[in-house]
Amino acid sequence: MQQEIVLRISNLHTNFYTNMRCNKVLKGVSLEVERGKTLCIVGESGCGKSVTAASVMRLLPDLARIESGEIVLYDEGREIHIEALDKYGKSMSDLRGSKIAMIFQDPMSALNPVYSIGFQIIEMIKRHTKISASIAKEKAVSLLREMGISSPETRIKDFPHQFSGGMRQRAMIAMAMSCEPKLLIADEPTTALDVTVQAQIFSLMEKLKKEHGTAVMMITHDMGVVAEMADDVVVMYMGYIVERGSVQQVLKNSTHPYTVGLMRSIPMIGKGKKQKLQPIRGCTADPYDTSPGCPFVTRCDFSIQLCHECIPEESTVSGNHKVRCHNPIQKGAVDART
Amino acid sequence: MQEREVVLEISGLKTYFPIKTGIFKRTSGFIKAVDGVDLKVFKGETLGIVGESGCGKTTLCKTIVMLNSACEGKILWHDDEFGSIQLPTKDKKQLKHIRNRIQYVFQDPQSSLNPAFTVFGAMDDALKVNGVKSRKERRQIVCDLLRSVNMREDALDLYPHEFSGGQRQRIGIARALCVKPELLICDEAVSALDVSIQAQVLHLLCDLKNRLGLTFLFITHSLSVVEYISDRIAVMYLGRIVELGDTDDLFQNMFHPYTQALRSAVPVVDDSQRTTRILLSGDVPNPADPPPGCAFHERCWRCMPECKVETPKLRSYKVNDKDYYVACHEVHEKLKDKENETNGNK
Repeated sequence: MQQEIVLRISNLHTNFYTNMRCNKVLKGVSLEVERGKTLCIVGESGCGKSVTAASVMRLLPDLARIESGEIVLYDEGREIHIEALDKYGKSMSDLRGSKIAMIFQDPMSALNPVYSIGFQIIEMIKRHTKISASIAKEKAVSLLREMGISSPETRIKDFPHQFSGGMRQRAMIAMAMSCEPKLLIADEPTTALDVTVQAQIFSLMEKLKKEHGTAVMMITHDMGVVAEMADDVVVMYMGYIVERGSVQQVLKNSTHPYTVGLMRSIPMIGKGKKQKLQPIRGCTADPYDTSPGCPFVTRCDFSIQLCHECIPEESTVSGNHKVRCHNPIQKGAVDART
Repeated sequence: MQEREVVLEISGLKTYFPIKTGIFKRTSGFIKAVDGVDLKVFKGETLGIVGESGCGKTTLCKTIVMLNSACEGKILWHDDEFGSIQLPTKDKKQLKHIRNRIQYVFQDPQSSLNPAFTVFGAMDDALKVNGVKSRKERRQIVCDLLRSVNMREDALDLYPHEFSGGQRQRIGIARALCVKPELLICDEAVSALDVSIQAQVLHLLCDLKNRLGLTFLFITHSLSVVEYISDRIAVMYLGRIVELGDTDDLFQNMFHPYTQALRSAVPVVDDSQRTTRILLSGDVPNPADPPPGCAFHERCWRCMPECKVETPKLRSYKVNDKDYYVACHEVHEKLKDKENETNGNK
């Protein structure tokens, strides 16, 4: 069966104009999110994963501009070109929340502290649907109940500070799911939470994905989260997608030196002191660096002369598994960490 | 088994923070951040402290370095020079000595380094106080320190904003090392760093431990990091230690239900390491008003009637011929025969 694509980003370039300089944050990002699937974007801080999400939501700051590329949302046979919409316009704000919803990293700063949780959810429902206030309230209560918040009838009047971190994030998800969006963007939804709460949130997101067929685009830096949640993975480095494919392909048969390096630098549970961590040397390059080669070349152990000269094009490893590297690591050439 | 030298001994430590309400700031209750902790730190070991946020791991360590004051209990520092010092102490000589012996690396290197001081400036005073008179000598010491944390010497006269996060954390470590401490407390020292940088700092810490024979108290919420770096692990829940043992034993056994739940909640890359997920309901209870009995009983799936009434003591058992501590009624039923004779004087 042909999978239904919800969002397609092709060759997206986003620049930030600061201090008379142009910081190219996204340098040609292409990805697709399918219905009922989770796409995880992994990368270190500053690699452009959040900017990708903000470009889709058109929530970029004023000094940023989408330079070129396409962001297309497929909605019941219609193609909506998000990049062509006015970011302050009505059609964009109709999309935000109803077709695409977003969960932010820190629920405390994403929720308005002076309005009750219920008010904020109801406001969202009323903005996007034509239903009466009382029905909207019922819907908000049932949403909160679905998220596993006990006695939602009373908690709906509570303010964000009266909720715990995990509950706030649940309220955020309730709000995001209130209009049954096609696409849910989760920007590090559990980074600020404890692992036990994180497990609760993930099982909730998994359930929602199954029940509503929502496509999820999740941004994270935790490889464990990727392995557990994702169907497809995109690895980003300095504004490029360096490797993408299904979870199996990317995590088990990583071919890009950066992905391999990432996998080797995380301590794995259950292996104790026997494991050897191999950190990636150096640190991320200066974003203003304009040398012609691959951005990873200074930290790469597998670089060849060509890497210093030009940026590699994306090549296919197998099927959907694509890598952007001149000298990809062949399968089996480097032993997996024991 | 050879008796190991104890450097730090904590017994019955309680740190409460008062809750003040009303216009007269009357104390209406206490937040029991640390509620009776017994702990021994052996020389040369890395003791990892894990737990969720709000379980009191940071408060415990801040109490050790006298940034918080304890309400009850004893902290003893054992040392060749002074014998044993009870903390907190008012004696100036002892205080100076202790501050040189115990150092603290903070979580966020951005906020723990003073932006107005250069790297050298940040360590200069500490060296001056410790009697290094000549400026040239001091610069040399800082240079050596920077080299030992794998940084270039020309970093000496740069300001914190000129470094990346990983480098700043290394400066934080170098600063802690400049008084040649014996015990280094790392409070979430790698949590704020990217994974590739995190591995670099973990490497550095392991290397320093081997080279300088340091003792580490390593606070973290990440089980995989703590498993990698520690010799022994203490799991905390709501101000108490619920399980304590050798890293390998602890990961093999995991007697306490909370430890099991914590372990199962960690997302893992390797499928073979995946365990059935135990989903805990609800949140950590309010430390100002902990439930009666075992603090974990409301979320525990192995809860017995007595758990709701009586707080379980941290009992010592023999597992693989090593001391192993668990505070749980249900586990006690199972391990009764392995219980240590010497229970009580841990």
